[in-house]
Amino acid sequence: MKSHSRTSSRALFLAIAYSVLAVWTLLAIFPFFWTFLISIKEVVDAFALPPVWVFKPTLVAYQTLWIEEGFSKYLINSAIVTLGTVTISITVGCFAGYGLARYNRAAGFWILFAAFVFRALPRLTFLLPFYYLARLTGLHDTQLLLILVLVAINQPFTIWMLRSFFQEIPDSLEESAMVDGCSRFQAFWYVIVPIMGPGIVTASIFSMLLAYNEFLIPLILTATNAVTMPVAISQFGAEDLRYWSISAAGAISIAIPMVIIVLYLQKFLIKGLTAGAVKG
Amino acid sequence: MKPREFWAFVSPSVVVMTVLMVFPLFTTIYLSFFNFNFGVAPKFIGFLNYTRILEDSRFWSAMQFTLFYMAVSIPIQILLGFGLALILNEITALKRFFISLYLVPYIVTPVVGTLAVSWLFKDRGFITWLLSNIGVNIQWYADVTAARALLIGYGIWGAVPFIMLMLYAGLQAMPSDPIEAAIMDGATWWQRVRFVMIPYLRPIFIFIGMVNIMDAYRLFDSVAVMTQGGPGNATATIMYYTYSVAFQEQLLGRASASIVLAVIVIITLLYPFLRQTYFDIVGRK
Repeated sequence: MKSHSRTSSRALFLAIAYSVLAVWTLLAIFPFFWTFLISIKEVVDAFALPPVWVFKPTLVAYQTLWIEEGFSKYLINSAIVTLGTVTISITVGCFAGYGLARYNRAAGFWILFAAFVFRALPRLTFLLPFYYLARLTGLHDTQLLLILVLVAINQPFTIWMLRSFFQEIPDSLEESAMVDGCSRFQAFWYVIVPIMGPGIVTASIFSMLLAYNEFLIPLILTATNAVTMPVAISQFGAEDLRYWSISAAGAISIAIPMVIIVLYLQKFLIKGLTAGAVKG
Repeated sequence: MKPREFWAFVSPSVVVMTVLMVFPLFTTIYLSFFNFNFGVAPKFIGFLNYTRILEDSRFWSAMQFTLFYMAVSIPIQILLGFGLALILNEITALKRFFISLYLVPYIVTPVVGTLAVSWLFKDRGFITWLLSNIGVNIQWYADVTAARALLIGYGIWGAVPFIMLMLYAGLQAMPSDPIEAAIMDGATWWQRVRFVMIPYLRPIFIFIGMVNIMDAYRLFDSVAVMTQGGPGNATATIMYYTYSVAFQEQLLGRASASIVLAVIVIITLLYPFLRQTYFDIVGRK
């Protein structure tokens, strides 16, 4: 009798649990689903009320976006900036993360603490001087400037995360390599970095998301040449309904590559989300 | 590791952070004492930028809305994220499916998420239309309360996935012994959550609280894309206000003063966390 009531209360719990999960699924996905519908409808249908559910899909908005509006230019900018940021910030971050993981004196802790404080400061704290100096030096509106600033903004988080991954690797590994005659750098490069693969992928995903998704930095530091996709899409005409369809096509175009890459690599993302918190 | 080796490894990162963060930070503080615009020679004006900012009612209303936004959205998003994490921790079927879907709002570019949500609430948007069918007519972008609620709701929607995943991963990593012991002692589900899980997850809750305070405080993207601070000035955050002073009014010196004040506020808010981190890392040696 008792086990019977426990089974039925478990069934009730599961019914409620899955209903809650289903509701949140709808909330999480519906805005993107709706945007996708706007992007493949004719403009007259896209904002018709009540909504048109049966329609002939069209790719006109995508065609306008990629051909007439030249969206590929912004894609290339986003790709260059993202790749550049990930490469530099992970390389620089790996050296620092390793050094910080293996050094137990005050200087190391002060660097970590300073990095933590910088993580807390709003981006505008750094951006106003960059904007001014970049305008003076001609670096304004270049991909190089965006990469430099994104690397810097990204550095505190990257060194904290990579340090926690390097700490998981026992010192004995590089010590035995150094007994065998490797220098510290050779031991790092040939012994430690190869087994850091998963940690490097995890840190790269976070750098990639940061660089690809950033809005405020390119908004301030670009004008025409180096504009990235998020800034471009935010500046399509506001009131003209035709532009809403193009914006919707742009929104879907921006989202798809990142969603595919990150969902494919999601176990690394989840690993990284836990690493930071559990170990402090 | 020898000090020389240590400095060799950390110097690229230290140089990047010094040149690109420490130097700009001090430049911003320096510039906040100048009347400083494009095409005009900078002129030292003492604290005038600060008094102008402190006399500006838009600064106060932006600070007020930013703090209000944090006070409302952070508790709700932590509760929702924890609730979902508890549910995911209990179920077995379809778990990975739900986690993948919930990751989507976290992965997608905030500007894209903002646009996607904002269309639903336009005057000709789907949700506005659904609500009008049941007699609720709201002009989301013209009404102060509605516009604020929309931004806060969007912020919660965007932050829940991160919180949920962190707490879920924490629950998964939790050893099963204390839970089993609690069950043996006849603890109800709620007692297990309250007296076993929440204390165990405490460091993760603190971390989440800290990151959420930092992120909510610098809210800019959704304001710029969704409401442009409107109606009037009702949804301007401190970052949006500073941005307008710098780039619409072209008053770089005054914007610098505004950001310095904003930094003082966030450091004060984060002081307990900074102190804790200081003791955790610097004090530990």
